[in-house]
Amino acid sequence: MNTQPSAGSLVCVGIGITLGSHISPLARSHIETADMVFVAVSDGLVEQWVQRMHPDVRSLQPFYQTGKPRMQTYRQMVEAMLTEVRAGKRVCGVFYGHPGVFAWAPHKAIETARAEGYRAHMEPGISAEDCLYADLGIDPGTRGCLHFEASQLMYYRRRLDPSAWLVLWQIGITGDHGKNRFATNAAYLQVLVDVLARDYPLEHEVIVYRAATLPIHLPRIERTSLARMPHLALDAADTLAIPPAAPMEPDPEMRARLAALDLARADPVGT
Amino acid sequence: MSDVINFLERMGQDAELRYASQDTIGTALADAQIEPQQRSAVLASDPERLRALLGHEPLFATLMMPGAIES
Repeated sequence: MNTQPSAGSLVCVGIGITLGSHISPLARSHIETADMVFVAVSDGLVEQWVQRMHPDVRSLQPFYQTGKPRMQTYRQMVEAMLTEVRAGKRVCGVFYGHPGVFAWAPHKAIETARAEGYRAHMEPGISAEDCLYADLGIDPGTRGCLHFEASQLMYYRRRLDPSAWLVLWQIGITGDHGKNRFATNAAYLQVLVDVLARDYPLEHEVIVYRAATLPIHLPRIERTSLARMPHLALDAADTLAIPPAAPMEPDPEMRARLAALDLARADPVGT
Repeated sequence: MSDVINFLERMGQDAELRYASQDTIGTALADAQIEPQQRSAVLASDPERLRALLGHEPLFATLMMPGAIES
């Protein structure tokens, strides 16, 4: 029985958010040494930059079409990469940011390739989340930080914690549940505000954030109130960061248990 | 002579250029012999104009379906 992996392979790499700034040496090496490269990035200038790293770079953009079911687009991306893997090629999928964060196709492609006996793995990249921590000066270790896909917060009842940061991704396509409008409007955003108003006051400050894709501009950092947020112009790359609105609540019962454990450690023989 | 994509890559990688003054960036653009209209778009921090000059349409950016994953 032949236990050797099949010849084809797949690696999905992230090239970070900002052109030139974030790509890792390992990601670049994967791109340069692959047999063929597929690319899904958010900016034509970035796509042009990636095309210079390898003679055979194929854009996944043609799979997108306004009005086409989004999952069909993502499945076609997976199939395009897997077709070449099955043909014995060493394939590199290049994605903006981190290829495993808010990205369905890279995870699915790797899962499928492995299930079919091919070598497949992911190399991380600098994500928009990483940029957000740096640009907004947030340390998620201080108060905690919840992350949700914005529409998911409306379709499902999720438990929020207003003593932590809350970050909502894909705010600019809120409510676009597979309809592929690639946009939202004030009415959809008002539904999101109504969900958030269960836990946050309407006058609470929120921050619209967009990381810098090119080194020629700065990130978008626009502060407003929760109530006014639906009236801002948003696009698919925008994120909503909501600072804590309440203090962390002490837990006396657990503190007492921990104090008892401390005492027991200080007096291990029980004298 | 360089081109604007190479120049952007250099800007992204170079600590002296990434947050440099307009004068410094202007000098670097001139030294790299970047075409005048592209030079103007870079100095104006105008990615839309730069994309238009290079013939790029806006790209679709989302890689996850809003709301829920259907696999």
